[in-house]
Amino acid sequence: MLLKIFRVFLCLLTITLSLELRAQSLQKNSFYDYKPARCAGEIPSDFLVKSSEKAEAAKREIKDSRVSRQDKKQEFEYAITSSFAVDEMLSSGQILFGDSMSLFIQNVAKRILESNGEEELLKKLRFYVLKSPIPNAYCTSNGAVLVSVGLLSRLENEAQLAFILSHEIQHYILKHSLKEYKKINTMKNASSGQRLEDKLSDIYNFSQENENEADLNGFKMMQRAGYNLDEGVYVFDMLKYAEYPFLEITLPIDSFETEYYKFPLSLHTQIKEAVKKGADGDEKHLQEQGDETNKTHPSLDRRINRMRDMIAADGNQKGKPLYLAGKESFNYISKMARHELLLLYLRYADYGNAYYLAEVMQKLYGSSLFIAKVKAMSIYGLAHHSSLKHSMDKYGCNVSRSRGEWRPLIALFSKMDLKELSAFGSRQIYFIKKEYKDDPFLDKVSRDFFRIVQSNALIRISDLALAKPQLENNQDTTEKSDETDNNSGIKNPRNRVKRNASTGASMGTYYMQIFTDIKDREYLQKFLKEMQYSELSKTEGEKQDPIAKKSKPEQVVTQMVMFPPQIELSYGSENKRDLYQEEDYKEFLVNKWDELGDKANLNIDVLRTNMDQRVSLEAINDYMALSDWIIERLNNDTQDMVLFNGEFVKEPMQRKNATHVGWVSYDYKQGKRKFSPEYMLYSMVFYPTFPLYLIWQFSRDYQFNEYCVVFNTQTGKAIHVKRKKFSSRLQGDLLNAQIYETLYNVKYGK
Amino acid sequence: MKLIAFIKKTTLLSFSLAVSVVALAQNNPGYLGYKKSVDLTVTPMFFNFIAGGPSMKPAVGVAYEMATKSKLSIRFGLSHVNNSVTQQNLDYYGLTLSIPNNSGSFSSNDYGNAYGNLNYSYTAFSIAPRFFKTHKGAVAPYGGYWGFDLSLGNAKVANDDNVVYKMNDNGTTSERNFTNDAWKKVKVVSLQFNVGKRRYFGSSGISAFYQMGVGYPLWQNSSMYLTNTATYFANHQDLLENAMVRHIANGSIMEIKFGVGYGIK
Repeated sequence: MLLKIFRVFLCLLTITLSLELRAQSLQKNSFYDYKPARCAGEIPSDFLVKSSEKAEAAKREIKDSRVSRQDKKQEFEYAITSSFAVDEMLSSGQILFGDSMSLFIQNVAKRILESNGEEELLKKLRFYVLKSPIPNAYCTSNGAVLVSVGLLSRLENEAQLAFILSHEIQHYILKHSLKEYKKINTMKNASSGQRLEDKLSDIYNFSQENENEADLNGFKMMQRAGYNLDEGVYVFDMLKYAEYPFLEITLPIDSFETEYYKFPLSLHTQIKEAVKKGADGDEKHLQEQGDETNKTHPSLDRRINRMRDMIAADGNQKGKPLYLAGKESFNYISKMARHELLLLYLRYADYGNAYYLAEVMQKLYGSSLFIAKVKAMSIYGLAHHSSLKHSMDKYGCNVSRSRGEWRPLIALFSKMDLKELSAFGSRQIYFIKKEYKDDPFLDKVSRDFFRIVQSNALIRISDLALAKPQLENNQDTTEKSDETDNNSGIKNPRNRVKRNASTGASMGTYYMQIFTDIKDREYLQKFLKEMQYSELSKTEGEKQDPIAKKSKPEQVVTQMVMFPPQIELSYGSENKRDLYQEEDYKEFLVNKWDELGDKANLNIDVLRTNMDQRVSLEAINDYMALSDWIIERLNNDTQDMVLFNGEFVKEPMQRKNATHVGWVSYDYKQGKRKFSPEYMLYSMVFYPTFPLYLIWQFSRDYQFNEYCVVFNTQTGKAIHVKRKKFSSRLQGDLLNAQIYETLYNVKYGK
Repeated sequence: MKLIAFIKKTTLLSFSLAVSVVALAQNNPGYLGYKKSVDLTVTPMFFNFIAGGPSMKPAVGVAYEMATKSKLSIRFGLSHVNNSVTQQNLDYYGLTLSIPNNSGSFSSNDYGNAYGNLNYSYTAFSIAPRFFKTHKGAVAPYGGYWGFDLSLGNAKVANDDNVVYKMNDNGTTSERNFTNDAWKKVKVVSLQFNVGKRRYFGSSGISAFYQMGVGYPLWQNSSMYLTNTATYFANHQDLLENAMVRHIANGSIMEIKFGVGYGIK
């Protein structure tokens, strides 16, 4: 009997252990070499119904309601504008559905609504994740709840998410966006050039009164769901520090130094000054956060106080749960969101910030190939832009805006010149490559990084390996450096740096010591040789056959993937948009590009992601991958750079047998024609043409711009960038001719 | 000799243009790939009223246009018109025949104006560069353009059977008839500046175009000087040839042309 029990126990133990191991390996596999989250499951109805149909349905509801005629008119306008604006966001490739994060949000929302007796609302609300690093959440007027990756990455527990969802659902229940619209009696018409997220923020920008109401009712909702209410307060704390990293570690710059490789005093001084200056700005920023003047949202401090009062009335929160849907699930989606956040930083080319966050993630979750890739990419990106003499502020190295613990590192990146950055990066990439030897992406990035080191920073990498510790003449330099210290008034903590300075190989070339402490000289030599070889062989190859470059066959593109053509159609001097006609034009343009691609023998695969029954999950995910790639490409604004998202567009591009991706947008305006005295004069001189002039003068004026960019996704090169401007209707043979010309130029790389 | 030299120059120019057409053709997408067009044209000549004078019949023609670049095309055209200047209108130009009289009267010459029907044919070959307004959306051979038509034409009197002269011989009027069976071909070289627009019907390759132009003959080899106002002629042949050339010249001051074309890739 005992043996039987022991056997059963052993069996159960084995099953449990194997399940645990499997779970661990799954977790390891999914985050070790993390791939961006993609949409999954059934496509929500939001993506299958045309915006015009949604607007019409909303209008029908309003028609049946018992409100005044004036109110109805406003509600009609609101229904149209909000339906189209929300759909524009949903079809932007920045919305995730059916993934682990969205499903978890939906699960939490379900618990809240069920415990509040609002099951009916569950049918009306849809939950999505917005791929944005800015911590924010929206609930649109038609029931789409969007939670940003930035917000998810900052949440500490499920109760915090529950508070946010309760708050957003209240905005929906209380129809705040409609009320706000009626109040100001005008919807902010989304203008061109505005980011989609900003457009959404404009529409769902509520008054202090509305926010307080949503806080209060959201609090009650959360209370009924049974969550720990204290967490609501922490949400406001988190929002107050939204411009800080989601988690902070102290990463002093001397942690990058070794016994031999020390940053010079001047660099330390610059960094200290920059950090001090930035810290002064932080205080001002936090004060502004508490200031209610000219703000739609009430100050966070006030909201926190109000929340504390409500919690006090509810009683002690100890023992109330932080998790109802599951701690493990929350931790999983939190980790996922943080990985997504890193991808977003890379997408926006915020390399300085991405590097810091990768260090945080390494500390938090341990090393992984993904984190190594992010670090390598960040260093490479910074070196690349430094070599092009771009302002580092644009690449995640804005010291004043990087609040909190990441500032010293950001300051270091922003103050280092290309040689210093190259040396610093060489060391980091050496360690990364040593740990992850066979990864093709790391190999590509490393090689291109060392190309910059050699060709732009003009460092002979063989010298880096040969550099010996230089510790002679210590005495002389110490005296000199002390003088410097006295002059600058800042205490010098590093005498060794001064000693190097005196040897002549120091202040200017201190970075030559980056590999001095490396013990595995054999691997180092091998690594550097490998990096050097790639560059030299390329150069030698070109030298050997200079004609080969000239006689390169003409590039012919035969297959191209295209984003659905975008159009913004406006009327009159007020640029009022006709959203219904825009929708028709979008469909028309998709078909037109498709048809003319055939004529030009250029097989165009237009990603049909406009709200339509024909939209497929594959098209949505392909669109998302390509949209991430193109955003990264545009933010880097440079040719010949390895892009992080390049890895993720390989599969869809291979599947479509294409290497190029095209993006086209139209800006179409219609209005009255301006009076032209000179044309009138000409027509009067050549009087038979006068009737023609009259017809022309009183006819409508049409103008459209076509912007088209085509990239090679393998090289990142823009093979076609053109803006065309015409005074004509966007139709007929002119449109045919122009699209065909564009396709012809794309095909032959003109 | 001058004419031969001119023809040589024109041939050389045409050849150079043809070479450039072939050399540059691959740079142009054309309209949906249609880079060439075979056209049928008609020139109603209803703007003749601006210059005044007898009305003209429409000229019909064929043309071949080759787009070399997005901005440029070369057009080769051949047009023909059988014109008839009617009895009353032949007097319009006030051309006077002045011939020695045979009557031995006081005046040494008889003077007379011609009346009747003058029939003539005019066939012209033209070569025309067209510059397309790409900033307005044109892609040769599609869209709006401006250009020059340099044409070399042959004008020949076809029939003068009904032409009579009312001759005045010292106050005595008599009708006289002259005949000539050996009408020479009058060469006319003209230059026209024009603007026009070609539009296509969808993706069928069929196009329609219109063109408005102003021009005038630069050179002709009849006895007439285009800048000379002299209207006295010593023989019937010169007078009618002059009437014909003036008719052609006045008609070409301003003209409008319509056509339909078929695109070739």
